Amino acid sequence: MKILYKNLILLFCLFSILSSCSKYLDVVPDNTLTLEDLFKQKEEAWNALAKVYSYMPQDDQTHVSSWTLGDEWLGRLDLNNNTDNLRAIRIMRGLQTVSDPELGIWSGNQGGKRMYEGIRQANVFLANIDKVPDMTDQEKKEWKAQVKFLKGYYNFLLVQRYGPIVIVDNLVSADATTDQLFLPRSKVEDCFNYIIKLMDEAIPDLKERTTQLNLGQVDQVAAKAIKAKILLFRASPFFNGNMEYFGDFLDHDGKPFFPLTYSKEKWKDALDAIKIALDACSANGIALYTYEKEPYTFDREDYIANHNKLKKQYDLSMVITDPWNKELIWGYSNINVYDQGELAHSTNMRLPEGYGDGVKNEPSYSWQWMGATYRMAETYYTKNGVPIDEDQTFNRDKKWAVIVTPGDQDPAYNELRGIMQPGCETINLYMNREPRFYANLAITGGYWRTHGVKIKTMMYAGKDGGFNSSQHTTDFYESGIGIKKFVHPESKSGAWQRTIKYPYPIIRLADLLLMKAEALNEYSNTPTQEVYDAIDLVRERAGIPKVEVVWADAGIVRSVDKHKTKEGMREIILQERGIELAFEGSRFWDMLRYKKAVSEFSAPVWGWTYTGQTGADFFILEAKQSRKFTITDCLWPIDLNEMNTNSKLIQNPGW
Amino acid sequence: MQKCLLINELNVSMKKNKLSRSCGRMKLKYFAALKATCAIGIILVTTTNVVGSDCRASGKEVFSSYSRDYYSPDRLKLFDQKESVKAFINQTDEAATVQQNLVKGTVVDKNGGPLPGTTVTIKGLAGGSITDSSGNFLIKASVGDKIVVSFIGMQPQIVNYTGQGDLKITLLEQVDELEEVQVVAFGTQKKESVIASINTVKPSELKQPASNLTSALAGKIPGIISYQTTGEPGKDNAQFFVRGVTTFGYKTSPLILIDGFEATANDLARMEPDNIESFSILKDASATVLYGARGANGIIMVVTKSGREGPAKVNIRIDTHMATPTKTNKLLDGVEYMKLYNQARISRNPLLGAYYSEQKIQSTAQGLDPMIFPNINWYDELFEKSTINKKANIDVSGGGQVATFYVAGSYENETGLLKVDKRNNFNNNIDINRVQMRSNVVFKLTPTTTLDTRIQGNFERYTGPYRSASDIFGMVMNSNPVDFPAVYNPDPAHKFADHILFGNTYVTGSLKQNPYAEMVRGYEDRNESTITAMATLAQDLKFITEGLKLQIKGSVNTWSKYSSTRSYSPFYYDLESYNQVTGAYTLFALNPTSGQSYLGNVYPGRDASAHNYFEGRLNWDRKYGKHSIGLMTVGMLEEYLLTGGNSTSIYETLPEKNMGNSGRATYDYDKRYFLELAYGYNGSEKFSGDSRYGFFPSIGGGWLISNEPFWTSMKDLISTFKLKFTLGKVGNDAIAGRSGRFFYLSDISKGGGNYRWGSTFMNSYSGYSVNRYANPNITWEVSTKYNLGFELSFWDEALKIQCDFFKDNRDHIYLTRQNFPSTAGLEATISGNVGKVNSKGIDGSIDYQHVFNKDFWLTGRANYTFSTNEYVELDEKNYPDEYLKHKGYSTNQWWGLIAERLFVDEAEIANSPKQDFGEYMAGDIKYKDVNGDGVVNSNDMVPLGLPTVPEIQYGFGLSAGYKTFDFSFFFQGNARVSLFINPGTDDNGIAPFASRRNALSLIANDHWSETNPDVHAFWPRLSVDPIANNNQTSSWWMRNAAFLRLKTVEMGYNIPKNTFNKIGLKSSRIYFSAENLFVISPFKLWDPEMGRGGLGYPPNRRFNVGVQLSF
Repeated sequence: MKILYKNLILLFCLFSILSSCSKYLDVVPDNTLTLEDLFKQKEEAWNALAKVYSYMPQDDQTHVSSWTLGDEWLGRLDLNNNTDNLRAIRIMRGLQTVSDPELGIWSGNQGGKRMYEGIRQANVFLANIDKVPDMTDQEKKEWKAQVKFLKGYYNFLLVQRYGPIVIVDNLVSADATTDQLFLPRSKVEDCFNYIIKLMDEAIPDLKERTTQLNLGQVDQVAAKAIKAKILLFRASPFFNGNMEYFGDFLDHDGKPFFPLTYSKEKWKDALDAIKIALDACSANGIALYTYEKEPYTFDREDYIANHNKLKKQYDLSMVITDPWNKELIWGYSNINVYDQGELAHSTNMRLPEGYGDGVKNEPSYSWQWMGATYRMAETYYTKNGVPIDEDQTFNRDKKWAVIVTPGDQDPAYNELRGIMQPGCETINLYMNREPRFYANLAITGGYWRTHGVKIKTMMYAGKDGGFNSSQHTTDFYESGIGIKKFVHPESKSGAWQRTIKYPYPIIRLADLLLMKAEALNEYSNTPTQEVYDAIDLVRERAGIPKVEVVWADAGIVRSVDKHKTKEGMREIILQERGIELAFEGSRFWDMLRYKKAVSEFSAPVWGWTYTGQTGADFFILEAKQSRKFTITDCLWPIDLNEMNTNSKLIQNPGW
Repeated sequence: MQKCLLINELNVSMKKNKLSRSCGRMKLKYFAALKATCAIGIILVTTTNVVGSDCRASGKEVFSSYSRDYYSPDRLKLFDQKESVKAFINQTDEAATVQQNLVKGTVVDKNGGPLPGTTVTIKGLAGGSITDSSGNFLIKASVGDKIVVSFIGMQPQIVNYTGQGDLKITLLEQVDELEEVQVVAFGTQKKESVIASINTVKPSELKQPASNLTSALAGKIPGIISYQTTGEPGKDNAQFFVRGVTTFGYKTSPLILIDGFEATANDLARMEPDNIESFSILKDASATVLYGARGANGIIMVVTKSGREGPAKVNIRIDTHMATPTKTNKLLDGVEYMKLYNQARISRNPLLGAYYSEQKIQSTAQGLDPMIFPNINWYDELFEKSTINKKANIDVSGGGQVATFYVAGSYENETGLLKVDKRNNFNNNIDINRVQMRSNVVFKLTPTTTLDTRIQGNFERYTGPYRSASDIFGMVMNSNPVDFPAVYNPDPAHKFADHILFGNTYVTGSLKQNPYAEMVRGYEDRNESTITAMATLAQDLKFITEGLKLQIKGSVNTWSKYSSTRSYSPFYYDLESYNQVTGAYTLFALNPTSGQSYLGNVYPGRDASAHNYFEGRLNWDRKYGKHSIGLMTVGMLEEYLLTGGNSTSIYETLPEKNMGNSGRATYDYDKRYFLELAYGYNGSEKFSGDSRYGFFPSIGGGWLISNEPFWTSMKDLISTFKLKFTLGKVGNDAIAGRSGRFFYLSDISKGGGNYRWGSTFMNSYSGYSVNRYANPNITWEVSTKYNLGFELSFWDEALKIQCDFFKDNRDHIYLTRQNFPSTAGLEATISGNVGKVNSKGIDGSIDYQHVFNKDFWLTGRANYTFSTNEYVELDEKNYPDEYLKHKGYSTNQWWGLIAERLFVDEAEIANSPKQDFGEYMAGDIKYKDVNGDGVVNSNDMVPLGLPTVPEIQYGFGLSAGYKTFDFSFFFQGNARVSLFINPGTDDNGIAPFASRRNALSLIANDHWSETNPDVHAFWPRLSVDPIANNNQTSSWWMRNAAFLRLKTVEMGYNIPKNTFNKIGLKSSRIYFSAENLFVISPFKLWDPEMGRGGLGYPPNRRFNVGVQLSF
């Protein structure tokens, strides 16, 4: 027994040696970063706020931008098989898939931000921000309002793309039950109501207008404008009584997801919200942009000689690129300052040889391959402010005839000075167009103020702005038409410091004014003067005649008094939107809202023959890219992964 | 109080109160006396009337354990009366007077070589004789005596002296004690009492020409599944699993212990079989539970040799082998390439037209100037057909009474197949020089105390190419035979260029890869060293109680690796103009500014780790009559300190630690019934709170039926029949990578959610990212192991069969939870211990040996392992279709589309379900819409074929010896395994032509085309772009990867002993061996063992010549 006893003692000793160092296994130091640390001081809480904002779509980035949806844009065709590039255009090409949806924001597929993650971050923020000790209650309230607004906005982005969505109002914990985890989709109307409720809660606590350091944050003006836009979507035919598309898109309970009966009062709701937003705009000095500074030296002579026209060009060409100008209601400020990839970079032309005092031609920050489709060259009005097909003074039949512009000494050139090159080959289509045409498009015979110089654009192969097989085999405008709207005249290539940064507009005043015209027109039985007044504000800035004047002028338009019917006015407003907001991601949604997307976007996009070295070779239209957009594409597919995960989900029709 | 009196023949006596105290001194004294003169071992007398069993037993043990070489326990005589002692002494004196003959004899080894220094004694008598240098001896013996012949390292032989004439006695080498004693976790057990599933291989069976031990495992050991996918020197470790892959968790590989100290697969790979004493695989719960923290995936346990008392023995082995690829892929010749490329280009878009001109094709066919019309077989351009490797190994062992030693050193030179450009002054081929030193010295500090020290150093000096050799093999596929030569001969303008003019060209805006330039543009210089030191202090605590032993062990290992990869940026040239008449050409520089003619760009690589281990252990073994009891307890602390490469992550660089306590109790009754209980109680730094420690118990029982009395009659036929059963739970804490191991902490980092505001966009915050949500409940992965086995041997162990049936139910597998919807908005994945996998299988072996006569012997061996598993729980998605669910399928099962055939025409495409993988045409693969939803996408993927890790692995071989010749061969095979060819354009993809890639010649012969619309052709419609539709994992690319290969063949010749006797050479053998001579498989494209990576560095075929010398 004694022996055994000793054994036991020994065993015990050995064991106690080991257990005495139970701290042995604690290897992690205490001060590693936890979520709680983010809400211990304001300076850290900023990170939490940034996190919530970071789910804003990157519409500035060429390959993930939703602005390139629709038929306005055409990029590099040699990237056609590259799934990581130009995703919005892939959608238009009919390449949307359930397996890995393009720009899928439900689960974050193919360039889409994970919107539900953003909503969760908002919920985390709202649950924790009160813990920050060194913030005043006022500050906390204001931040909470911003976050709440964003939560609503993210839900709207989902509804915009998916229709009925899953509403996740509260934080889902990691050990949630299946009932809490797997939620069904809510009806579209409930989704809108939920979003509007969030926004209504947020708006009173927001700052009226942000300034300086905080530019880009949501304020009351921005929130009211966005709310108005959401209500406009709700009132639009796609979401309002769309029996045609969604009559048999039913929930588990057999009831339709979309409201199938049209309610005109929704236009009234939208109109009221637009008016509130416009009031807030005018109270805060938001007005249509005009250029107030001195012209660039290279334009000084022309600015004097052809003042009105050139001033207009300045007004129109810098609406977007003049940073934080007075027209901007809410801008996307999270641009990638140090890197390239924005639409500003992919659209900018390369500095041709002979310009810029020997500055080297660098492809970075001027990719020179995002261009406009031919359609855009036709969409812009004539100088009379009406479509080219409507303008009797415009020679439609000879629009493709190659001509030469008047020479420098020709008096006829005076009004073209600074706008078209003298004695230069071009085509009829490019002549006698409205100022926005010349301000936005880079064309043969025109000018492009970029890289700090004024470049004479020719767009022919081997010429300035055109295809150059020896220097840049892939970097050229496939259609032979460039887009100047996003390029600041001083933006150069080669380094980030040499480009001019500006916020990409999420909403600007011209949009709100046109929304007002639209809502008024839809709500009233026939267009009223109030409708014309709203649209005329935009037209006036664009340098074209008032709508009610020109459309009543039988000497100009073919369909006289088109503006007097609701339907006619609707078309006019939509085209006005298409021009004023061209390339800004508006046209696609406008067509979608009016259920016109399928018919508008199914035709191939066209362009000039970029290899042509003369007008005769160049101005031959080619089908560039086939497009296919079906009713099914109007709602994004929920990705297969998610469908496989949550059996309560019903897939969007057709997918 | 018992009194013991010790008397030796010289009548020196001692009186002691306690036997235990006297033991030590008694032995030493007695020992000396005995050696010189004693005829009789020991006479132990007690003064009491009863001889205490303790006394008897300990006396026996002292002598047997201490001086086994000189005594057999038979020589110990025990008496309980003084009178009897006297009587005995008298009697032996009388016996000495019996008439004795002078017996003459010779002792030789099995090859007939003389054995000088052999001890020859008469059993029961002191004195004796030692053989001379010719192995002859003279000894006095009487008829009826037993002549005992013994030599260190040989099996002692006893000859009954019947008055015969000259004796010729052949001693056979001692078969390792392993035959009797089995290495088990924390100790050894008598083999017959082992009920755990442990397999031991003879180190000699692991010998092979290749210098990577892991590549020898396949088919050699029942219970191991192993495969080697590349032959690149230095990177050719085989994958190996004990009883297959039994989890889908982070770590699936077994624990490797070298002398009881955890080691890496690289350490194992570098082990020299000559230095291995025993190599064992621990498979079931009973065997592995004591290593609870890591044992769940099985254990490979290696014990290195230690010295034996006796004169120094020297062993030298020198090998030289030639390595050559088993198979290289056949590529299209330039002319065919161009024709087919043109066809591929037109095939999908006729408007594109031909790319290669008819003139270029014709000129290439005529073999005109290779600078202008290159036609390159890149394999020949880049690689030698074979390479020579050398290896030398020397060990010295021996020892005396104070210490024994085993010292070994080896040198090895291994080279790759890469060609070296003489224009560079550095070696870009793989050239590895390895030096290994081992010193195992055991000191006998006191009769009851030993200190075992083992020091090992591995040093590796590596130089190799800038890119890995496997990558360079892969690059062959990215180039093509006709676009440019590897190097241009300088044109007049570049006559004095100070750099190599590498060929290249632009394809879609970027330079192609010139594999030759990539190969010779730089080199990696690397040094790697591992130093391991271990000390084990063992103290016999029999002064406390009989059979109690204490052992304390400390091990330290440091490993470091540092490298510099130096390179220059090659200058590339393309043909600018060519004069057809004169043949003169001019080149133009493609990258005149970015090229660089001197070595610059150094890429550093640094990594190091330290590994410390401490253990204290108590063993107690005792026998009471027919009851044997053993108890063992061990406590251990273990720590890894690491740099994690150049990691700056806090979590990745914190040490890894384990501590725990394990124990075992064994009991057997009469060597018939066995019972074993064991446990491990282990803690890991990876878990917290209650989850930190895991308790893992096991229980086992065995029945040695052949020891039953009723078996006696059958013993001649079936000498051993044992049944055994064990079950238990074993843990595994290696459930996630090092940086992600602190599951109980959330992991948040700054950044990854930035937003900027402000007029100048400079009010910017980086946001944060959640990398992991905390889960304090994460804990050990647990394996519940069942093992049922039997051992059978026939005809006195001539034929041995053993077989185990096993089940391994793994639960608490850490996994990323799949079944979370996106709408939960989680930023990081959620994980949990919710996975479950059930594995089961059989492993077994058959051994046969037969000695026909002294000239001819034969042994045979066959192994078989079958292991299969299935997902039981993996938190799968709520798939709408059953076939999408992985549950019930192997963890190595692949899912893919069912390829029906190639599309016949566009009409068929229009009438078939849409395939959601990009554009496709006639001649592309048509898939089955399994769920019938009108779209073929990932929801139509079904389980295809068999798992991609073999479920069956087997091996068999024969060895035979005839006189001085021996011969052996070994076959190894895999079965029940599928392989999916990679049809893509990535590194191991075989897709031709995309970006003007190379093409396998097979594709030329067997593809769909308009002229040959074979809907079952090997390759679909050709294309110069990657066609995603055809790249999907599908049954189209699935192959049966089963194979049977002749793994090794060896022929040896033992030089007769007398030949070199004068220089002290005891034995010498010259041998020739070969590895991977051929493989039989339904898969013909490349060596099926390479799996998907068939375009990488192929496995080697080796031819080896070696010589082994012993002094």
